[in-house]
Amino acid sequence: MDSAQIYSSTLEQLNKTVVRLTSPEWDAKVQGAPAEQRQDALAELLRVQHARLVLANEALQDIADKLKANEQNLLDGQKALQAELDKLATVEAVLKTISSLINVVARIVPLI
Amino acid sequence: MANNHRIEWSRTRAPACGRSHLCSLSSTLFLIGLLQITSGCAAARLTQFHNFAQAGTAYTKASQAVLDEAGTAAIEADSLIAQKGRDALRTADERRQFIIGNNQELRKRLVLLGDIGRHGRLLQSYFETLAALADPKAPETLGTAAQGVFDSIGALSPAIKNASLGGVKIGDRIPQATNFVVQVFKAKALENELKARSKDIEREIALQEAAFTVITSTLETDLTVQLQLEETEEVIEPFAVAKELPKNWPARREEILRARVAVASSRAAQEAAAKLRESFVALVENRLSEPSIAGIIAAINSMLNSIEAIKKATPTQ
Repeated sequence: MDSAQIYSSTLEQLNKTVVRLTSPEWDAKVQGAPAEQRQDALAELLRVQHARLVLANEALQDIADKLKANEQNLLDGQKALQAELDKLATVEAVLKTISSLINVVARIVPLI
Repeated sequence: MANNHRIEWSRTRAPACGRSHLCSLSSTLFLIGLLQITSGCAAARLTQFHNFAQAGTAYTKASQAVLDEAGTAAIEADSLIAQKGRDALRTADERRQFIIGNNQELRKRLVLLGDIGRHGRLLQSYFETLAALADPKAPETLGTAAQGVFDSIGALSPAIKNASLGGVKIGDRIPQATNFVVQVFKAKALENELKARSKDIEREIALQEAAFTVITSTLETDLTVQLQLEETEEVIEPFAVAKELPKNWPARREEILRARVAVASSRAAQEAAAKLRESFVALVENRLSEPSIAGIIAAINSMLNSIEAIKKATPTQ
């Protein structure tokens, strides 16, 4: 996969994730979770939103090498996250895969 | 309400003339408020260029509404997320860093949207100059004016081509160039201008098309986020836990649900840019037809309707 495709698919996954994390279905799920997980869910929502804004404004040529170097981790992260978002089995599992992908994105672009 | 901003057009008979594609244009078109009375081929040509310039103006105005909406939706979605997630940021310093960081990114996006808007407005000026050049009595200085506008367009386009939005480089989405041949026009200044720059202008309209392909995809995500958060806060939660539902609850519910559907039609902007490009090629080849102009107007109206439905459902804007 070339760096443009890795870039697009990563951002697309972040967009899909932010849409899922703001959905009424996810909100209902989180409301039934323990307080700590509710707090974590909000923290991850903020991280995903920040990451998608930063990544969307980044010029591809500036991050192409880093994307390529992290290709496998990014693709694995996207696949795992999408599977969890589709299942929506537990809040904990979803948050874990989000955190994992965002940590890889943070190696490519500086995140807060 | 929905029809207030819609663009309408009507038609009037053009005189028969014995030449080329001009003769197949049995009707001349005009946008409301503009009455074109034609007599002879020169006047029919003037009408074609004038109508195209009017369509270009309508496109620019409608596309500016989409650009405004894209900026607003990005800010609104981010603000709603920030408000919702604020408690997860434990210290004032964390909250400060988050909002400063996101403000910075949103500003970058607004700059790009502004550039695309300016690019569209310059194209509109160029189309108006072409319409003026179609007049056989056009002063020679108009050719210089066209060159000046074109130079300004050319100065803006690299920044847009190289920009990324929503993970897609705009330059990568530019459709393939169309092959076309500039027709012979009696107005030599017009013919010279079209021969010199029409192929480049076709590419600049293609850049608008590419920009809107990318913008509408980002706009869809931002609007979906915004509407989902509003649905939860204003429809689902009150229904689930409020002692009494607000009086406007059914109306608000309907607005939000309808806007969710309207989001899907925001792609009309890209379609309008595509139709504008097709019509420009037809204009240069002296075969601009009534359905071409009607097609642009329909796409522009579709853009305006979708923006209006979204605005209605997001009154905070």
